[in-house]
Amino acid sequence: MIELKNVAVRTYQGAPILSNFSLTVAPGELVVLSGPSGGGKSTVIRLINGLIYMDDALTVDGEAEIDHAPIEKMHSWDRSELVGSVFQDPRSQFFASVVKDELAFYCENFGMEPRQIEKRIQQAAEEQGLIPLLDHRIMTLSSGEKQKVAIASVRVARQKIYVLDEPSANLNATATAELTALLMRWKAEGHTIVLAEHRLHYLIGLLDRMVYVNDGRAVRSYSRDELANLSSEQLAGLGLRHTNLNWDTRAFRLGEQHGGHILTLGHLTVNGWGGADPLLRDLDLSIRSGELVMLTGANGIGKTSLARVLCGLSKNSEGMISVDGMLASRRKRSRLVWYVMQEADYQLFGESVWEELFVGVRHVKEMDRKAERILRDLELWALRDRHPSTLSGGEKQRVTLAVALMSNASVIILDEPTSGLDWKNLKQVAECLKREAEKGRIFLVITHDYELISEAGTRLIHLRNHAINADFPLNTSSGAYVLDLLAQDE
Amino acid sequence: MTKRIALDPRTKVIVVLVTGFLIFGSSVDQLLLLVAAMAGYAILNGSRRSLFFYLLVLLFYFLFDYLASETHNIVFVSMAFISYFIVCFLPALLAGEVLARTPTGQLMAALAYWRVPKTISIAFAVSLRFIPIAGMEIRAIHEVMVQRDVSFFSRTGWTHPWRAFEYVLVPLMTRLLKISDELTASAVTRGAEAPQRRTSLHVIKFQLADYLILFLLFVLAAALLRAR
Repeated sequence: MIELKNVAVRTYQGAPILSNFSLTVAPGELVVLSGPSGGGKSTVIRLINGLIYMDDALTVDGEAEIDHAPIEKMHSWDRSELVGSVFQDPRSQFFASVVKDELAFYCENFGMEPRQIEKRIQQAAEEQGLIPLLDHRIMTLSSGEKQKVAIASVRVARQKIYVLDEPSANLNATATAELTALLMRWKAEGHTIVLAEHRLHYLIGLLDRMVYVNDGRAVRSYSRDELANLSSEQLAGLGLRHTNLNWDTRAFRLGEQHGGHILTLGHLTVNGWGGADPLLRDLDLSIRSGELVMLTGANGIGKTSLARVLCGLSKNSEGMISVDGMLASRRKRSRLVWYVMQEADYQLFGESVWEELFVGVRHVKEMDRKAERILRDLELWALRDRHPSTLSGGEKQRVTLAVALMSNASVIILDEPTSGLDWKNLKQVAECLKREAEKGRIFLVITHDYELISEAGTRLIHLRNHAINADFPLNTSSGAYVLDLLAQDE
Repeated sequence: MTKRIALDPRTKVIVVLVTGFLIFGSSVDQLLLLVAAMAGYAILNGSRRSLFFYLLVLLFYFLFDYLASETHNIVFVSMAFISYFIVCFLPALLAGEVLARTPTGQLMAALAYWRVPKTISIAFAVSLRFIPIAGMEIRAIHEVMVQRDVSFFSRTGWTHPWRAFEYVLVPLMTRLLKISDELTASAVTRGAEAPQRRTSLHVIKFQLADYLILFLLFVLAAALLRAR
């Protein structure tokens, strides 16, 4: 049993992160913490696995106990035997280069004998379906497989309690479904599970309670039925994502515009790394101004490679690319096509949000005015003097979009702009995209976020087997088909 | 993956140490013998890819050495000097590459066998992980800089190299701090601080191949040292 009683967490300067937070999780219960970003969900997770006590910059008051033993008093290794932790980004959790060695890490730390280690690895790998991958290099795995390795490397310890911090952030539909199945099995085995999560749709069938966390407080607890009965408006009011994936029929769909820009690909082949087989063959398509095209497909199919070819970062292509009817060479494309990468941290160099827009851009009156307009449009004007690294994930994402809008590019490509965003930030990104698309630029969005597609897409292109599998305009009745396509991806 | 002989990681460490020691005070002929021996060792261990590059360095050295002795031109002499320096490092580079390509798990097994404290062996694993991660991060950041026209090779890069340097450093530091935080969290929640002595999944044992390699290394070392 996990018991948190009147816990208060403050930063060194005294800013509250959690205040008067209480939560009791019974053995075998599955509790989801949800709520707006920055509300304190991750802090609760770090409280349960004890990581918070290792952070010197935070002060923690109140009682936090597992089975009536104070978490603070335990050794870190005793906590790791009790609580298994799964984090958001599996990329930066690994120590070994081979899957098997990674699974052995925990057991080796506790000085187990090789035969015992082997037994534990086999069990954990079997549960995650990793047996065929045991001798593979971790670097070569897909993000879904990496997440499984991360879970298995914790699971070898056979804890009773598991805490997961946004485990679905980097997963596609299939991998998310597998995660649901796994949680279901763990629950049936009687494990206690606490998740911090924005996406509720994959958990609604198995959660016992959802605790709404906002401003560092446990505002309210909802049972599964209460949560399922909340309307879309009520969920949006709380800043929560949908509990079931319904197609937003009221979402505004742009009509095709005449004039403006046009991007055309003719027999475009995207080659793999170092002379490997082509990732995509003979793509033919054209996109006009005002369209918000959603590009989806399984991991590793070549969506990002296509984006890198289009914006001139990669040379691995054959075929024709033209912008506004003019053939665009690689050099030309680097000015005409802008690519916003997935990871926002790579892309922010400036000392303030305002200066960020002027990296590589001259301060002239005209550009100053443009920058002000963009910042106001993206609701970043109030943050213009802040250092970009102090912003939240959603705000950083919007700054990278603002930088793209400062350029004169006719085509803007965004790579997974909403992974890990809560409902309010997702909605804001979607609204920005729709407003900007109306102004005449072409937007191509790589995503497998159903809620973003529903909110902002006007057309969907689905890639499979090295080619375009489906390409159709989105309208009020496309929802079921889109969901079907996303669920087929591996 | 190319087939390779399976050597004990301890053998690989010993090869690196002995080769590094032998480089000092070797004549050019001895150095070339050492390069040849290490090239054979690297091929046996399946690291063939960078061999071409090393061969190129050797060719450069011969070329400049010849030109320098013929013409006594200062440019060729200094080029010969520089390439000689690189050739000096070749044997150690070759031996080091074999060691560096060993999966981290096996290296940590060797450290566990030598009873190296856990703090050191885990720090060692982390630092090995950090090099490729930092390389990938720098490449990604540089791509963004190219797009925003502030890379080292753009106009801003030529006129304000310090600014370009700062543009790499700021996001790199943010990212590396975040990654090191996450790695620490991942280690601590998996018992990295447990007081038990670390064991390993891999059973470490010298085999025939190890004895053979060490014997050959000993013969080589003895021959080279006697010739001095």
